[in-house]
Amino acid sequence: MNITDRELWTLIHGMGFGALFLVAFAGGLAGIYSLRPQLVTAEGISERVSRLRWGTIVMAVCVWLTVIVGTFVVYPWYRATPPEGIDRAVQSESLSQYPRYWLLASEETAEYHHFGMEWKEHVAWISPLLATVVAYAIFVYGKELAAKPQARAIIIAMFFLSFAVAGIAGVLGALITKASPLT
Amino acid sequence: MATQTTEREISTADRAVGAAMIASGIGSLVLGLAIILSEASAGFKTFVTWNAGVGALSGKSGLSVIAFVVSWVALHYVFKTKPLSLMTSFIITLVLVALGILLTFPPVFLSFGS
Repeated sequence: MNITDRELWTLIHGMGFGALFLVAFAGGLAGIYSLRPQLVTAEGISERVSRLRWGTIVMAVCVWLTVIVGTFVVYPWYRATPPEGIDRAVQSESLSQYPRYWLLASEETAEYHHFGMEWKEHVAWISPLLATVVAYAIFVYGKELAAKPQARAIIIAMFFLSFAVAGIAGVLGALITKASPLT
Repeated sequence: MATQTTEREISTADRAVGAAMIASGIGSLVLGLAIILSEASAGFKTFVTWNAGVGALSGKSGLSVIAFVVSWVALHYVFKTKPLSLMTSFIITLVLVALGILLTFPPVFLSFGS
């Protein structure tokens, strides 16, 4: 088994930080949803708020790291220009080292770039903004959130939105990687 | 963070969270606008190419993050004297984020291509 630097960083980006955020979402959602006096004792609310504060901060950090690593480490490899000697019109073995150009070399795969990558690379940056607000809101409200159903519902909506945006980027990323993996 | 709330007042926490929410919407909209401008103007695309390896995405995302941070700080202080209710802040945020997402959608922003 051999893993290249490019494969390792792609794994860190998608299966590390990205997947951690998406997987932790369910736990965070359950924690915020159940933060209500009729479901949890006062002691339980204190314990849950503490866990939620740390959990949402870690999630926000994960989604920031996902987009930063994706944009500044992995993306330059994806969009790198092949040297003059490589034919950009044929999906050859040597062109496969340049995923953007490999995808564009065939009409059957060009949409992975034109639609998939173009949307993924941009929309992903909205997710950390929303995740940061969720973490900040949990930090600011603290235990008070249990007595504020409207604030709780709004935070859940922001959380969902952050997850949905990250989910779009994640699914598109998986499809692009399947079509033209970074090796 | 402790808050003082009466029925007619907007609590300190609601003000702080409302400001942060709208700032995230502003950051999203700035991202969308930067994408459109980058498609429509070669000069702007060059301006936002802050990193050669990453290309224009470096500046587009950078402008979005800067807008988020700056507007968060500004709104935080504005909301101390002129607050909006949490629900109003949320609705404004939803509109801004929806616009931002719409402008990141390739069929939309590619139609601005020069």
